[in-house]
Amino acid sequence: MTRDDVQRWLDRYVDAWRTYDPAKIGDLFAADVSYSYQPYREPTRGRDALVAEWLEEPDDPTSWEAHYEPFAVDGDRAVAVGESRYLENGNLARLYYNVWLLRFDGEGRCAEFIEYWREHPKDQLPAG
Amino acid sequence: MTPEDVQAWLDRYIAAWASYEPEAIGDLFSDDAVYRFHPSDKGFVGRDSIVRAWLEPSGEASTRDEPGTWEAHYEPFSVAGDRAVAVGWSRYYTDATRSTVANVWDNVYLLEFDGLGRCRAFTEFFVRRPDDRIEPAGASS
Repeated sequence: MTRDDVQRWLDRYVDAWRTYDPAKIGDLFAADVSYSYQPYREPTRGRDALVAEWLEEPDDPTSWEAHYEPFAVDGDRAVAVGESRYLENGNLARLYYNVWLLRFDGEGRCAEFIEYWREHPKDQLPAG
Repeated sequence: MTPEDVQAWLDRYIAAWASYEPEAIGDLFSDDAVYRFHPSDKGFVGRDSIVRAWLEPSGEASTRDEPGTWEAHYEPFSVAGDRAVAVGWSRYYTDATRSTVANVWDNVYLLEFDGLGRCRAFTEFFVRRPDDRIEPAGASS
């Protein structure tokens, strides 16, 4: 994977999250993907299970903003960093910093995803 | 940096934390390094400032980690050019007998190095493991 490949994958991830299109979600991941929402959590295993999980409680597309970019890309591994912002009445209510440890298969699909995140202190949120 | 270089740097990082020797800490970083304990921090800027932050967290030497009350291991997940990402864990015990684990953290370090193998940017993410995910004292990770 090149940095551009990874950036494109990350942009597709955000688009899949915005649209909740099952095909867009599924196309991001290998059939046997392992996906962890926290480093200590048992991963969700398998593309179908992951797509079903994403679709379970969809976020209102106007309620969030996110951008991720590659920090390091190394063979089939990449680390993405970024921010996820949740809005209430159009105002920033919660801000999270994300690090994603990613491993890709030979077809540019994500085979392993481990997320670390930290919340920005709620009493010190930047304006917007 | 090679993965071996990064591993060596991480091992020195742990040794510097164990010793709190100012030179050992300072040698890890470039003159103008920026060190963030949390991604939301503005960060400590410059080697001297970083050494002070380690030696006197929150401005007090008393908040340092007592020797023998913790253990940690980190290794590179990804190394690309002058950047590396390390993953690992840090385990804290209630005291130096290490009979009771206080808490365990999963860590990611986002690292940038200068041309001399010194870190010029360090950002830490740490995530606490829930109590039901902490192995008994003596587990290796």
